[in-house]
Amino acid sequence: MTPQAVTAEPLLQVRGLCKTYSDRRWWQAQFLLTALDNVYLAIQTGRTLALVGESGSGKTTLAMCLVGLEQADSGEIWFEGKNLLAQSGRNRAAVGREIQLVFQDSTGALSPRMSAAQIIEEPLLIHRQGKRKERSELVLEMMAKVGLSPKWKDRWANQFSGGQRQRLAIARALVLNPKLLILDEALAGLDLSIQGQIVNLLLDLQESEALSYLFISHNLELAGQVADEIAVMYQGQVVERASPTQIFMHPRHPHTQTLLAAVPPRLAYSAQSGG
Amino acid sequence: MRYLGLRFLQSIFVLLGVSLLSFIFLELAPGDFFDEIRLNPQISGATVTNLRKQYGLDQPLPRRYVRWVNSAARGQLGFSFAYNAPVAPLLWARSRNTLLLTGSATILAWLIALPLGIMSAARRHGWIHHLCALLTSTLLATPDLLLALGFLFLAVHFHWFHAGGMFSREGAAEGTWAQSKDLAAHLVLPVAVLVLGSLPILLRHTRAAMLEVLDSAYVRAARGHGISRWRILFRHALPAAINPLVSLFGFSLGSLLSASLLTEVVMSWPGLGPLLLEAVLARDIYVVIGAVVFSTLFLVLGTLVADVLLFAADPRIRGTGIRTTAIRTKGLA
Amino acid sequence: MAILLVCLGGLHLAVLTAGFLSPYDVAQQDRELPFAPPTRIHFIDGQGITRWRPFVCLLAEDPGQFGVYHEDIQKCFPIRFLVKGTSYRWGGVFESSRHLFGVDPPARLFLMGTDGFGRDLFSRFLYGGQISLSAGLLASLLSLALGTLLGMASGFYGGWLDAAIMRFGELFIALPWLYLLFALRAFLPLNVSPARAFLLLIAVIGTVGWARPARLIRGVVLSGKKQHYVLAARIFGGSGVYVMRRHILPQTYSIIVTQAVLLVPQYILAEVTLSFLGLGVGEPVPSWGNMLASLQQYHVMVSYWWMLLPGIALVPVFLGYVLLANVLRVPGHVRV
Repeated sequence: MTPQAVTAEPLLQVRGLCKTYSDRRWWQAQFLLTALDNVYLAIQTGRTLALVGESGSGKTTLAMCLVGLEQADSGEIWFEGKNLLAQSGRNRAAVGREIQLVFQDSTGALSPRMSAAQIIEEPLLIHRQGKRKERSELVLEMMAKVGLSPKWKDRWANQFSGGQRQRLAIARALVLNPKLLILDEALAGLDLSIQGQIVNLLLDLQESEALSYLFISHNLELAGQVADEIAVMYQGQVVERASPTQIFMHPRHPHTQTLLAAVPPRLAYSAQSGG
Repeated sequence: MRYLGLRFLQSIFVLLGVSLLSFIFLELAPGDFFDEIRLNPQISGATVTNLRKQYGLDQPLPRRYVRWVNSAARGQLGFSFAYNAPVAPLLWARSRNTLLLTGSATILAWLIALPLGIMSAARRHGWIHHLCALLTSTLLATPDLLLALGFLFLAVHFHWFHAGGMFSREGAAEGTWAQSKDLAAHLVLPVAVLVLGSLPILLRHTRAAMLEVLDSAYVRAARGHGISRWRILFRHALPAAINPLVSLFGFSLGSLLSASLLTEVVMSWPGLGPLLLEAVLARDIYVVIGAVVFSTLFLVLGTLVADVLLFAADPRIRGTGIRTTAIRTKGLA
Repeated sequence: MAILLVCLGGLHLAVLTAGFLSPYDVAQQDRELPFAPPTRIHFIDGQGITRWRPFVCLLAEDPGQFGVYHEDIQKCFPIRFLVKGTSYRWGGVFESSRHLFGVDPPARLFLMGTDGFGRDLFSRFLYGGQISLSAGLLASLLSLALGTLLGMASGFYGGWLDAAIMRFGELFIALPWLYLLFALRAFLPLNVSPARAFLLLIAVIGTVGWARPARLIRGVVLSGKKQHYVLAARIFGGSGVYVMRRHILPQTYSIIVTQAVLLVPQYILAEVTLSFLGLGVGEPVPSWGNMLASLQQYHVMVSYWWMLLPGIALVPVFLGYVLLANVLRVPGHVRV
């Protein structure tokens, strides 16, 4: 299936999103942390947006707001024509299914008490989809899609290797057929060769399932290999947004330049020419 | 100082909460003191109703509670139906005896447990440690009730000390010295029960607290510097262990009060224990509430004292004003 | 560890099969033999011959003296096994009348002596064990259930619910437990049938102790709800209740077990104490507590040492649980 043409209407649009954390105790001064400061970005259907920044720049907070684990203070999140922040609980949940997340640490993200099949099946169980037979067929199908052998379906999660666990996490995230998949540092901590395999898997899945990705990373070079567009975050704001070529050739914001400076030149060159 | 103020407020809250709860519990109880009288056919229903009205038992709960709190603030705690006397003086008299008992037991228990615990931590596998371990295990397995009964049994059979009561009845001893000796002789058994009952916990936790401190980096550094063993123990380790020990003191007060309740009843020591038991059996509600609030008061005061001590002893708490390191959940969960 | 479990289990089993193991019925009174000492078991008979089968001799009261007995060596009766006696029920269902051992009347086999009514203490001890041990177990179950429920709600939802529950719990932890038990017991009717008293007792003891387990469970939940697989389940749309049941509850199992090991002996003791003081299970149903109650009378304490035996039996029970707690490395064993 060919990637869909870029439609005029983006799949996801974030406008002016703000979130502040405050720790208020009545006998102490207020403790304020601005996590998101007027964030604007957009993702087209079937495309990948990479969100790059250092720790504390607000990337994870943004992801949490998108999946509904955190509530933004103000702004708008438009997804498929609906403003997520204005939705009631049930509607929000219905739309929320279309956005899924893959965490960075696969060890913590998969329950140590569940087998692979149970892990993948869980979202289906929560939404009471289909009968048992249909569910287990779907589970096996997903496992095949992410490159896991179906005969491992009864293995415990911690019996898999790191790369396999991430595949499992991806399978679980995809079982509800979401439109947008957020990968929060999902490749960090994996061996380089495994990273490459997972990246290829993700790209294949994007083609076959018409997925959009929000690829969060602190690694500019990796982002350049995967993304159609890169957004750089710094202290809660999106400071630059451009195609990978633009970023690598003509970085405008000083923070982008700092990030770029950290990338070994040889790799930067190949990323630029390959991305 | 803000920290102390907070703790004081907390204590008031606890006292109020406890008194309110007791009131509510006893209100929900079917029947009251006058039910017993009602059974007597010679007393008419009208008399009982009048009695009830006289003692204010016919008023709704909130009003009774507010009245109680008001009078409590002024030092009056209601009226005892069984003793036909105001509650407060009754409680004070009995509390003195209970305080005497629990106070002596606390001091003695800590006097024994602290050195033993420190020593058994200092020489980790020495004979002191094994003695303590044996003592702890045996005593942990022996419930207070059995200790009390056992001591009574021994006293009765071998005529050790005096079994029961606070003063000898025969021949009122003359002079304060003789009276004190008599009192002390009667104190021995109940105090022994209480001390033995609380010893295992104190020993174990003292040793644990000291061990934890002795294992820490700065103590090892001090040893590396060549500071003498004793100096390390008392100048460096002990002050650091004070924090959990003071918390332990606060925690142990509660169990000590419960143990003393039982011991007083078994050994006929005229303290709050027997009074409370009688009151419960007779449904003498204001005595019950008063006794429960009194015991809470002692507990709260004891913990406050512990907190003040902690404040004075631990510079970390003076500095930040937050009791972040005070309660060690490890070992005291 | 295995030996420990076997011993503890053996004790509990013995108590469960009280009907079979006890030679006499609980209420069977022998007015001729009040306060009889434990029966001596002989292997050597009057002629100095050693016999295979142990036997006992007839007990008769000394004329003119209350509570003093002598053995009549001439009249001896062998101890038989698997004898037929009064009928009882296995687990309340199956009726049987076989007892493990016994002697033919008019001889009596009182392994632990008798009480003021001439009732066999050994039989009462076994049946009383049923009451005391099960009270401890059931009350712990109640405490743990309450504590888990409130602790999970408190930890998961946080906010004002958390603050309210924890403040309320502090009251329960702050108070001396026996005072709390008294206050709570006082609010229940005093003169109830032993069956209802038993249930009331379990309810009271179980309710008093919810706070400490709740605090611990709350701690587990606070860290557990941040686990990424829990977050993932919420992203999938799992409700709070689902997440708590499926992912957080299993994390609490180990705490529940360790708390149970701590609570059960404390609650057994609570039942014994309350029954001893007359606030628990009453006559004629035996409980280790009310069996010890007669010791409060001076003359009993002086003359009849065997009445202490039910109390001494508490020690192995406690020891078993204490050792179990040590082996399981339960952190902190502070008596409530």
